[in-house]
Amino acid sequence: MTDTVSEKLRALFPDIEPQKVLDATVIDVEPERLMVVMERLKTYPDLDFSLLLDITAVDYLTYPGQQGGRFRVVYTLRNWKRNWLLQVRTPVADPELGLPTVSGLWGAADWAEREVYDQYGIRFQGHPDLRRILNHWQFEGHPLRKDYDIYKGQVCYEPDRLEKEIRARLAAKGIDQSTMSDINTEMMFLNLGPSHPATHGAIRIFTALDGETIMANVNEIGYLHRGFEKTAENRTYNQIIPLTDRLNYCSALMNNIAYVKAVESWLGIEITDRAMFMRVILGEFFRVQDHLVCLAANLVDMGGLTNYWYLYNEKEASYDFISRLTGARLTSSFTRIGGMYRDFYEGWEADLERQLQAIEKGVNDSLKLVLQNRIVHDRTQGTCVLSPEKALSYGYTGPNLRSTGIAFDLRKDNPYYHYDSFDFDIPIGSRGDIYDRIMVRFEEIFESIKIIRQAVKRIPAGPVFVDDHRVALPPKEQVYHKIEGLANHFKLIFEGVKTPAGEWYDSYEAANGELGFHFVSDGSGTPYKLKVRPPCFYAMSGFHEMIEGEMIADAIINLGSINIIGGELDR
Amino acid sequence: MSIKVRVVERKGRTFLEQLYLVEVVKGMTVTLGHFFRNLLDNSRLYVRHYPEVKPEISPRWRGRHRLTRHEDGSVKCVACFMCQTNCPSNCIMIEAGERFDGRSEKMPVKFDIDLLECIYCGYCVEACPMDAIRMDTGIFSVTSNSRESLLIGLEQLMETPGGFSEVDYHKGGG
Amino acid sequence: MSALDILIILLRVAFGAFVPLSFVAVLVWMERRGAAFFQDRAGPNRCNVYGIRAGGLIQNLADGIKLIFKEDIVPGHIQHKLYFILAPMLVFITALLCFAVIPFADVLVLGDREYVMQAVPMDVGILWFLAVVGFGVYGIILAGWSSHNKYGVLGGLRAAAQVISYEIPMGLSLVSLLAVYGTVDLSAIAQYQGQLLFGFIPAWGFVLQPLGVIIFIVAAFAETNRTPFDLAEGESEIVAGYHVEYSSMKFALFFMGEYVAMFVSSALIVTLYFGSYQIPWLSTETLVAHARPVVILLMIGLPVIAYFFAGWIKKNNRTHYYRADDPRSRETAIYVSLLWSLVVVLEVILLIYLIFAAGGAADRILVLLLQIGSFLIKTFLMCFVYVWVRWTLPRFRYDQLQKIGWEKMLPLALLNIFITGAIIVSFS
Repeated sequence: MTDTVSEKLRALFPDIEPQKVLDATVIDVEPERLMVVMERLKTYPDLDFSLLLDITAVDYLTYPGQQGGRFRVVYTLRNWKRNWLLQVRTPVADPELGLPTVSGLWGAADWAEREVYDQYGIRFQGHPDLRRILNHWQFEGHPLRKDYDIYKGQVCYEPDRLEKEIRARLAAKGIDQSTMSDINTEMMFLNLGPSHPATHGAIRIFTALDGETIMANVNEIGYLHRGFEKTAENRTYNQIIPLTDRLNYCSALMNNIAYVKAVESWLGIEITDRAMFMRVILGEFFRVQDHLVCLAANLVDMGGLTNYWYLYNEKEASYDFISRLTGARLTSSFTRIGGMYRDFYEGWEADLERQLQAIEKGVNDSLKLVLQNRIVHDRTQGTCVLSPEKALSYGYTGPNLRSTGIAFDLRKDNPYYHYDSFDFDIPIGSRGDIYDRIMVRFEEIFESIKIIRQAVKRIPAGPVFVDDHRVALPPKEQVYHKIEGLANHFKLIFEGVKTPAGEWYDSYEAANGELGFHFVSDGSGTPYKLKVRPPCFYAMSGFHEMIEGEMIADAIINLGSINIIGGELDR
Repeated sequence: MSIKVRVVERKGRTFLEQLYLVEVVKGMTVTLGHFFRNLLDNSRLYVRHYPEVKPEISPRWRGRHRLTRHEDGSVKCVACFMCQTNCPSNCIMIEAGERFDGRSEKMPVKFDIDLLECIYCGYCVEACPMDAIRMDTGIFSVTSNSRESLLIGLEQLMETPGGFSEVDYHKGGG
Repeated sequence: MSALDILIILLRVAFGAFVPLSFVAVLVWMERRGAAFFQDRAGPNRCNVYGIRAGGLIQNLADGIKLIFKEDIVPGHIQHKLYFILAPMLVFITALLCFAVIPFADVLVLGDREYVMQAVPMDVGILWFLAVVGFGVYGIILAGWSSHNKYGVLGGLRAAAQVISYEIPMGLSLVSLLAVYGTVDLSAIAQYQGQLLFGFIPAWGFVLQPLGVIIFIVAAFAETNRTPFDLAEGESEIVAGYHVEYSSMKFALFFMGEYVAMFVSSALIVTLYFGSYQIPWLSTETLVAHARPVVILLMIGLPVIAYFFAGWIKKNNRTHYYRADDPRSRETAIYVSLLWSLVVVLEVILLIYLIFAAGGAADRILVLLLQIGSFLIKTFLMCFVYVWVRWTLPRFRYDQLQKIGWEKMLPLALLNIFITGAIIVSFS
């Protein structure tokens, strides 16, 4: 499959040699040819890389044995129909000059390039609005560069007025100054957030209103930016796992699984069957939790507060099971590289089945209030429609993309952990409005419960940890009594799991879309660079497309329907 | 085994659904059912009467830390610094000193854990080669009135008893 | 004006002034407890005075004290302080005034004098209500405008448009109702509903006007800004809408004003459509004529009800976890003993009535009390429907609400008038 990609690329660009890295094909392109190559990749029908997953950069300042320039920008693209993953790498000679922007080709590039500019200082020529996104607007310096002083604390003293940006957006919509000064069509500027009961997490939605209709919208994020990626550069691979808990904190274990899956695929470790089924069961269980949270919050924004309780009471009850299993309610940190931290406890099947039945009852109660209720239909059908083309352009994945009718799910299209041997449906929507997003999530809850029940029947007995001394901490008896065990333990703790040098990208179908990790390793036990591809970030980048032209009330429930989780949005 | 793609049905086309009131009344019967069930017998409400009823803490729960002792009361920890190295939030600060009772060469003279920095991940427990540090006190609510009192030291860590029996702890729940 | 006249006037005014206010406490309690039971949780159950929790009613006391002691902030950016302070008063006062014309019992005949049982015995009836309730929206608009806050302005605008849109269907459904009853005076309407249609159906309003009752109830929900029509204060959209800048007692006035409006709307719906104070199949004359059997029935029924009620209290007022020296069992014992002593007192009073005072004025006073009780129970149930609907339905969007008001409710109300007119003409 990847071979056909390589063939096609060689046919089009004879002097570029594609390499195969895990699932992806990687090509190196010179900056002068970047625009030509990108246009062809997007527009040629037999290449059709319509989904721009991520743009990131690497700073090779302290990389051992580096030749060539200091910076390199990496574009990750996907052809979802044929399941082709492509990474395009371009060296950057001078960060001030930078590279030409690809935001004309993919809408997702708008925010992705802003992030690269913010974190690395690489400019993109022709970008419509190049300014900081995760760090505050008074920040100086570029944090992910290797020579940034991490002990420098910078405080922002004034709010960003965003006036220039909103006027630019209004001008793009054809509303000029004369319209705005005329009393009949005067615009009112209103800030929804950052402290607002309905923006889940702190997100600022700055709108220009005509009455109650939103004419233009500019969003500001970064209120929860904690520097996950910079922290990860100073931790060993296993130490990063509790930090990944705090990304999408509603479905913490899925982040753990996504992260260790990425590392294990590079190390070439095949985990045991029992560990695979454990990951499937727990991953789907946390997917259910995440969808429960999203639906409950969304229905509260609509005014139906009882649904919140019917869904949340069951979620709260499942925390009993989760805490019995992992030792904490929210921050599970339950996977390790090479397997799971511990096995299930005795009697887990009965507990899990009881939870699943309770969840089904709660969801059915809530559906009886919502499914055929015309008030809900009026609020959600036909509002904030997202077309499939826009969704792909802005990098949407997961339930948001499936609600527009595009049946792309990594569990089906790029299966892992025996997913292709389970019997389940992928629900897709037809119109891409809020109703579809809500219903797709309800249906996914039922499908996930189906998968869990099948996996519980099929899970084999056996060890949960692979028997590989490069990654597995030896069992405690060996550590207490044998010197080889102790030495192995010592090296793994002090130096971390060592990965071979190189760069790779791997992804996982998380509750909100494709959660990917792009690593650069220098051969040691700590990653040289770690980039998270957060699905919420790209969902938020297309938010203005969905709400311009709609009313405030629609914007609020739309924000709930795309399931924005602050921890993953801002990292 | 197969994965099928299924389009979600869009409700709201039938005449009865378009009459707001029919579905509204049906929804109201669902909530009324809950109401009467709870009114007649309020023992099944999802309410935990905290702080009189504490949540159930399993042996795997990662609560506040404690340092274990040998049978004669001396501390098991040999100040090998594994927990300090493995901690993702750098909240353990150990100073080693000489041990004179022949069990090993070192013991901690200072063992501080900053509970405000700790992320309760359990990596220190995983890293310890001597089973000296555990998080099985069952203390799940780590609160205080002053920041200084949440930087706990060697004595406090050694004093706290474990919350579970050895059998339960090693079995890990069930 | 004899002393009896003055006494009756004072009693009526006291009833009309204090019953809505005390019902506010009951409504707040019902809302919070009811919401909790709908949502499988407990609601306020800890506030107590020496262990007496009264099922959460003491929480109202705590809330009141808290609201009184909170800091009353008048934000610095407000330019028209007079309107800012006037707005909640307007809302509260108009809500309270609406109750003046609602009859809570049948006309009391003592000797040769007749006393109309309304707080203010006018005969303009429903016109008073329509006039005053429309005035309340001025308070909301003033609040939104004088807050000098974009969210407040949005809330005020929405409320204004909503109230105007729904006054019309409300008025029109009332037109057909008045055509059926033939009078505007609410006491006369209440007396009319004591009759029996075809001999066995009580001629209550919802039987006479099935379409009209639906329109009126929906319009009443919209007038009082209750879910699904509460977008003027939709918390999740425009934070708190028109009362976003208010705190402490001014906010409490809005809050209480909303509940008083809810109570008054329920009372009006009950008066117009659900028989007001009439006990079904037992009109005032029947009751007065058969006073003794009714009292005997009451004397038997009270202990039975008390028995089941005490059983329910004992079953549910326990601590559901182990607690040494459970204060709840002491509380249960107090409640049960209070209940039984109340029953004993009532039985004694009824016995005294039976032996000494049967016949004459005491009969009428007994019937008066029964009818007041019936009125309060029906209003309570209607308020429960308000709470029930609030916790079941999501809210409308602003323009959908207008569409329903103008494009669906208005034609339906006109249709109702035509049908009613046709039926009346064909039967006369």
